[in-house]
Amino acid sequence: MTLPRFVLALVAIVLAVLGHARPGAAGEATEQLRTHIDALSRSVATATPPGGAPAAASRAIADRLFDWNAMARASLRDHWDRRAPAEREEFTRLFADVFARAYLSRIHLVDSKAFEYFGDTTSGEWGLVKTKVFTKKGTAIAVDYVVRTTAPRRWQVQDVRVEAISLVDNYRAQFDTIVSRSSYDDLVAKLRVAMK
Amino acid sequence: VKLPRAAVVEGALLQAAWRRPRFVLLLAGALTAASLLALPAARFDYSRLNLQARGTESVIWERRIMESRRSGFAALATAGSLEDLAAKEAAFTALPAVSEVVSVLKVVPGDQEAKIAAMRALAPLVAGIRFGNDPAVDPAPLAAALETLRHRLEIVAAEAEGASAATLRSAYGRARELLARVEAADGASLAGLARVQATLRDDFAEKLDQLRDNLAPRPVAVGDLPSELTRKFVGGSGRLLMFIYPSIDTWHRDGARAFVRQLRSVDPAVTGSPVIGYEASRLMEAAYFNGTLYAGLLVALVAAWMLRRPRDIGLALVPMALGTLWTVGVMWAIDLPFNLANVWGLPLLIGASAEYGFNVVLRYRERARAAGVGFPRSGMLATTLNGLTTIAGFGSLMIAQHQGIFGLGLLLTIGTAAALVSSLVLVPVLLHLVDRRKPA
Repeated sequence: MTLPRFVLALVAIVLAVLGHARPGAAGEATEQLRTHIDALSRSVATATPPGGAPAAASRAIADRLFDWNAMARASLRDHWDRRAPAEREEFTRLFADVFARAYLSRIHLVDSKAFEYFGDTTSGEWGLVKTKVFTKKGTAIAVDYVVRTTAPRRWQVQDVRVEAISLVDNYRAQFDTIVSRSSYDDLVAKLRVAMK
Repeated sequence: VKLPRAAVVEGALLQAAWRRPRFVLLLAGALTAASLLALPAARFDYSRLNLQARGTESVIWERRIMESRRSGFAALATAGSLEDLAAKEAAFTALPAVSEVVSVLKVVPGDQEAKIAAMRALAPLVAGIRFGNDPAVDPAPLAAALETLRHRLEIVAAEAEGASAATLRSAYGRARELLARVEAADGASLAGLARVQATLRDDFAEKLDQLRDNLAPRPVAVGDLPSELTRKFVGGSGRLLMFIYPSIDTWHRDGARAFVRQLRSVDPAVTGSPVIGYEASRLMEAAYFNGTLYAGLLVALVAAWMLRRPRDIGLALVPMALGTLWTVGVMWAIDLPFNLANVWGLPLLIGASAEYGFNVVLRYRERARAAGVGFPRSGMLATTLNGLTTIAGFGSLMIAQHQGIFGLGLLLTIGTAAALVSSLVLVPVLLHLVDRRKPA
C-alpha cells in the first residue's frame, strides 16, 4: 500500500468511526420508531373513534414518539421568537393536540401489518428513518421520519414527510399566512376552535 | 261632591263622568302625579341615526364603522402650511376623542429617508445581473417534476372517495399524458417549451429593469403628487384640509360635546358634520323648548283677554297644562323620547289643547248667560269632532317609515288625545265644581 492510499484509507476509517452519514440497516432510531408505531397502531385500533380525540394511551405513545416542542417551534419559525414563554408553552400544547389528532386519525387508514422499514441514515444527532405504508386499498405511500436524539439513546420525531412533503412545513405555511394576514392571537383562537 | 241632576249633560260618556266626579278627579290626579314623577326621567335622543327608517343601509354601515371606534363623518380643520398642518395633525391625533386624522400627509410616503436608503442598498445586488443566451431546452427537470406530481395525484386519486374522486382522476390522467409528451420530447414540444422559456426570460428581464430603474429614488413632496390625489386635501387658496375622525360616539350629546370641546382646544375654527350636528341639535332643542314656553305664555295672554275672569282663564288652560304633562308621562311609559324630529310638536300641542279648553269654557259660559244649564251638545260634539280630525291628521304621520316622522305623529296623537280627554271630561267637572262653590 502506497502512502497516499494509506492516508485515504485512514481518513475513511476515521470518518466511519465518527459516524458521519451512516446509511444502512435498521438501527436504533428505526427500532425505537418501529416500537412506538406498532404500539400506536394497536392502541388506535382498539381505542380511538374515527375522527375523535385520541385515547389517553394513544396520546401517551405519541408524546414519546414526537418532539412537540421542537415541532411547534419549527412550525412557527420567526413568530416563535416574538412569543413570551407562557405563550410558547400554550402554543406547543395546542400544536401537539392538533397534530396528534390528525396523525392518529389517519393511522387506522393504513394496514399496520404491511409497514415496511428501510432502515435509517444518521448524522450526529439527526437521522432519517424511511418507511413505506400501504393503504387498505393497496396504495403504497413513502413516509419518512426526521428524527433527532433528544436524550441519550432516545430518538424523537421532528418532522414527518409524506411523499417528500413535510407536514411541519405545511403547518408552517398555514400558520404564517394566518399570523401575517391577521394576528398570532387569531391563530391561537383558530387552533382552540379546531380542538373543540 | 254631588252635582245637581239638572246639570247632567248629553252624551253617555260625559254623563258617566259627571256621575262619578270623584272618580274623574282621582283619575286625573293620579295621571298628573304619575306624569310629574315621570317628568325628570323624560329624555332627549339626539341621535339622528335613530330617526332614519329601520334597515337604512347607510345607518347600518355607520353603526358597523362605529364598532371599530371610527365614524364615516369627520370634522374638518385647515392649515396654512405643511408645517402648520403637521403640528395640528399631531395635536388632533393626540386627543382621546380622535381616532384618526387624514390629510395630504397621508398620501405622501412616510419615513422616506429609511426607505430610500433601503432601496439604494439593493442597487449593488442587482447591478451585476446580466442575461446570457437562452440555454437549450432540457426536458429532464420538467419530466422529474411532472413525475412527482403524477405520482402524488395517483395516490390521492386511488384513495379519494366522493365528489372529488372524479376530479382527481381527471387531473391524474392529464398529468400522465403531459408527462408522456415531455418524455417523448419531439420537435414541436421542444419548440413550445423554448417559447415558454423565452417568454419567462423576457418577463423576468423586464421586471428586473423596472426594479433597477426604481433603485435611485428621490424624496416625494406634496407638489410631486398627481392632482387626483391632492385636490381633496388642497384648496384653491392653497389651504390644507384635515379630516378628523372621532373615536367616540358623536351621535349622542355627551360624545358630540366631548369631541367638539377637545377639537376646539386645538383649533377653535373646527367645523364639519359632527360639529354642525352638535351645534344644530343644541340650538334646535333650545329653540323648540323656548317656543313651547312662548306659545304657552301667548295662549295665556289670549285667554286672559278673551275670558277676563281668572277662574275661567285657569280652567281654559287646564287642557293645555295637563294635556302636555300627561303626554310626557305616556311618552315615558311607552319609551318614546323627545328627538330632533318630534320636539317641534310641543308648540303645536299647546295651540290645539288650548283651543279645546277655550271652546268648552266659552260654550259653558254662553249657555249659563242664556239661562240654560250644562253643556250644549253641539258645542261638545264640535270640540270632539275637531279633536278627532286633528288626531286623524297627525296620526296619519305614523304610516311613515322614517322613525322621526313616525315619532312626531305618535307624540301629536298622544298629546291631542290627552288634551281632548281633559277638555271633555275633566274641565266640565271642574266648571261645575267651581260654580257650585261660588258664593251666590
